[in-house]
Amino acid sequence: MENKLDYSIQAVPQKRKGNGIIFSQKVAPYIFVSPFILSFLIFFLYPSISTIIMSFQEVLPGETKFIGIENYKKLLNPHFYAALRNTTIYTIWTLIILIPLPLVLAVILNSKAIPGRNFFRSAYFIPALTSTIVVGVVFRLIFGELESAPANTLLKWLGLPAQQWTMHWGTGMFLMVFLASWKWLGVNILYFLSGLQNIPKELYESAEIDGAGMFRKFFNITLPLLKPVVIYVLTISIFGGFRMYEESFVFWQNQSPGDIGLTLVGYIYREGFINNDMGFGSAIGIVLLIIVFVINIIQLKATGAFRKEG
Amino acid sequence: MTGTAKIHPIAKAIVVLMLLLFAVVALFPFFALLLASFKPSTELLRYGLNLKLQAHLLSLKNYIYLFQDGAKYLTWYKNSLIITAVGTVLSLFFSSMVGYALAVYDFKGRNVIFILVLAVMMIPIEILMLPLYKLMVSFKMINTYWGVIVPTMVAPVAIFFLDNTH
Repeated sequence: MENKLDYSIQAVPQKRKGNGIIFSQKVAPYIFVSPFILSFLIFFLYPSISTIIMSFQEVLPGETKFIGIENYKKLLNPHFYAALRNTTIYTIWTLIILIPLPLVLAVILNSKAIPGRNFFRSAYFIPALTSTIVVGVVFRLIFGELESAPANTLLKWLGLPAQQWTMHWGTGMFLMVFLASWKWLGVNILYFLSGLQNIPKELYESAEIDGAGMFRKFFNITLPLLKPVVIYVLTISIFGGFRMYEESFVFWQNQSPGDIGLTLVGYIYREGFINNDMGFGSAIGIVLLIIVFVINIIQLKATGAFRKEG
Repeated sequence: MTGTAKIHPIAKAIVVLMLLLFAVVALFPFFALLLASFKPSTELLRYGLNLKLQAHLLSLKNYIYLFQDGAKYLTWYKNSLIITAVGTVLSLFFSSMVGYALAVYDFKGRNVIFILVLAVMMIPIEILMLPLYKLMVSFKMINTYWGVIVPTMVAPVAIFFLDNTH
């Protein structure tokens, strides 16, 4: 975190005298954050409070009835457990794949010794430009059930049996994790590359003079200085994982065999919008919110993101 | 790692091969998409996608349909373009303002704002959809570009990125 401290000391503007209250150190930050506060109150807090209220209600067209914690009691059912389990396992897999792999690829692609690195950077980033829904159509064709579908052709070529990809829990999970990894790999590489570019070259040069090898340099210079970016990617990956819906939707819409593709947001959608039970949907949403919030607060505390700047 | 380090040629070849493999995986779906776009839907529905070229099946019909019958496509494209352009400019402006304040100032309530930014980030938009829709109706912003742009104008992900990695 030392580098962070240095930046902030340099960047804090000098006190300007005579420029009125707007430029004073005390007031300026509040003016800067005011767009966020406004947007928070209107587009987040107000709808959230509506959601919390609805989670204690039976919402029918034209009338609503207060029913206490009935909606929350209804949560104790196998569908909810399946959704919670799928979402959690999916999130863990995306964390295992989408942090170390892009980190290593970013370090490789940052090296001038690699031929065609600009080509690789663009090639990996292109998937991020697509919409999950559009790409999902193609993935469904690639992972089709027929033996002639591209994925099964590849399996046959490797001497493995063809798969009914969307019919089993394991292969279904693979599809969702693979689609997410395919789409977000390039974005995370980009984050790590931007972090790598901020590491002064002199650090590596002096480490080389001291005789540090490739791995020593990676673990003693690259990794510690990339920590803020790693925390950032970790945080948005946890959010992204728990609010996943599209990756499941493109393969099964809202009906998967044995709930193998059911996610928490998918469950909200199914109960709230399809079964028209907005109260129950809201209750699922509130529980989801609490889970994600607790995980991330623990994570951010553990990684020291709540630092106080000098 | 910095370019001055010497890498063994065989190690380098292995790394480049691995990079190529990833590039094939990254680009293959686009090839499949392109191929499928020239095939009739009936064929795709019945037999799925295979990688044989089958020249007799390929045609431009889908594209002709897109721009002729579905002239709406251009309207949709215009909508996306406007929302993206205006949304990006505004969101960059406002998010960097907030990110700047969080990154360089130490003010009372900084951590509260930081936690609120995180809270907004973690809410799936699906949860807020219905109340948000009602809100937009009362703001008379239904069926306008602003109705789509304004709620996401102050982007928490951007604020968090600018603050955390400045």
